[in-house]
Amino acid sequence: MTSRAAAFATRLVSEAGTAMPGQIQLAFRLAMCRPPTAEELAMSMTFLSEQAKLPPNGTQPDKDPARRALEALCLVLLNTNEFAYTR
Amino acid sequence: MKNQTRLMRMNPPCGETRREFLWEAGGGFAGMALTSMLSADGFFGTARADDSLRPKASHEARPTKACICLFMYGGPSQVDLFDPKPMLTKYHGKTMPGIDKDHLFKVRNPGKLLGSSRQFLQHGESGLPISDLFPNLSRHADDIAVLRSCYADSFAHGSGMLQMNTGMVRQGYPSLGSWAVYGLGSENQNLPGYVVMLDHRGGPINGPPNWSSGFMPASFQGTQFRTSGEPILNLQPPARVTVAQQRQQLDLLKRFNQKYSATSPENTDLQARIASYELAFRMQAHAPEAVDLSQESRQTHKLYGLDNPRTEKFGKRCLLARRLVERGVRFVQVYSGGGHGTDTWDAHGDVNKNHEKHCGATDLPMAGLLTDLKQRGLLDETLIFWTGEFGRTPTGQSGKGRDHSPRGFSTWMAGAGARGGQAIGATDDFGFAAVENKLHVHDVHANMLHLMGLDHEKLTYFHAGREHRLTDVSGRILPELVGG
Repeated sequence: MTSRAAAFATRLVSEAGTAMPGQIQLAFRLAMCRPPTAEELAMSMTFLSEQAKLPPNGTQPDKDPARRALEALCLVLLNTNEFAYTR
Repeated sequence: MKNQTRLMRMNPPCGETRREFLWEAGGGFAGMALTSMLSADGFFGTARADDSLRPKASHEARPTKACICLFMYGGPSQVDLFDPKPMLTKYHGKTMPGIDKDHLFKVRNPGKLLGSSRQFLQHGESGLPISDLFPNLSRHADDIAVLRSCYADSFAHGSGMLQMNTGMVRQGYPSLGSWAVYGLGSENQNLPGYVVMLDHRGGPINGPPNWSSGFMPASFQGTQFRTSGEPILNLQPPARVTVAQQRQQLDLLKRFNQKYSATSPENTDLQARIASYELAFRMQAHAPEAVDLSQESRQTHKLYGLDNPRTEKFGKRCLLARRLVERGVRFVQVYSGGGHGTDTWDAHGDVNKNHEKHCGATDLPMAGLLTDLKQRGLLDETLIFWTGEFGRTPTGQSGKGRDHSPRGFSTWMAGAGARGGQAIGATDDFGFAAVENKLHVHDVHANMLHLMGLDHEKLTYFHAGREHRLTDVSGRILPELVGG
């Protein structure tokens, strides 16, 4: 799951660039087949910046914080009920 | 204009014909009333039942906090363990009278009567007879109530397992632990309320439906703990993630999921899935301590037989069960026997050889568990329920073996105020069928719930249009077992 999340993040960067709103919008379109609601977009933006601020542990010093946060968002999306469970 | 006339004719102003309008208005009003009545009855799953895992009051004041169910998968032989039958020995080698009348034997080709070669001594002050296959358990005879007249509906392992675990011979119903956790909640919110530990050689037939929550929310299902290696699979977070990062991720996930499940509040599986993430997060911190057996003294290890390869595996499960119960886990199921053939209690080939193996592996740990619980003052509040899915025939099979038999078999209970030192009910002269004080699986379950402080008639769950019970529409309480 973690490696799929990383691959998902790679695709987002290659197709939507590095701007956050674009990445999030594409992520929702790909995972949920719908754009994010305004609230989801805001929650995701906050998450990306907060997650990037958290200190890394010993095994992730080389990773760009923004990239690490994007992978985490992808992991969350792949674990949502809407994506993984229902229908 | 021409077009408009046509529209007027085809589509009346309210968009429907008079007949359609009246039909829908009438049907709609009745429908609304029906909807509200059904809703009050919990028809749409709008949680009339308390679906949370928080501790709940029991129906009756009993000190019971937990149940440990020791499940002997494969079907232990009553006449070799708890139900001595002198007549069976006397008529060894003869045809069992009335054998042609039971349809069980029309499909199972019976052998001649096979006398038990076990010794039954009387134990304790009560003099309860227990087979020499259980020398250590025998020391606890005065705490044990043997139910000798149990019977079940199926002679096949799969449906028999389901019935003993869920009350029903088919899949889709909540298991014993689910009912217990539904009824009483869990005392420890950092561990699952219901834990299942399988045999190291494999699981029972059908697997998860045996510890499923059936039509109840998934949060009531059994959580499997392993007894070798890491007890809980995938519990440790990946090394690359810090706790703070994971907490943030789970918070976002929870908010996404809550928004989503608000669109379908009747779907309890969605709520259960949210809850399971949160439980898993808390378990990362608490479960490693709960399952760390190195905290136990050498003496305790020895008490459960952890110093002997023969008893080590089952002993570890029993010791883990005690540690979990001590920490507020409501229901723990421990299996002996798993996989296939002689790795289970399914003694078709040679009952002595099979039962010497499995009794040898479980006798000391079970006795250790009873001793340990008693020493810690936990036996009064912990119900021990020992059972298989059915018993075995008094007739032989392939020489020294015995076939399945659901017509009459023994189970036992101890602790939680169950009156020990007695055998309740009786099978016929050969130990084949229950004849006195007969106890269907539903009756056994009713008493089990009662000893946990739950009234089997009040413990209901609304599903598919009606209230369901573990005991369906039967279940008889035994005052001589439960007191009062």
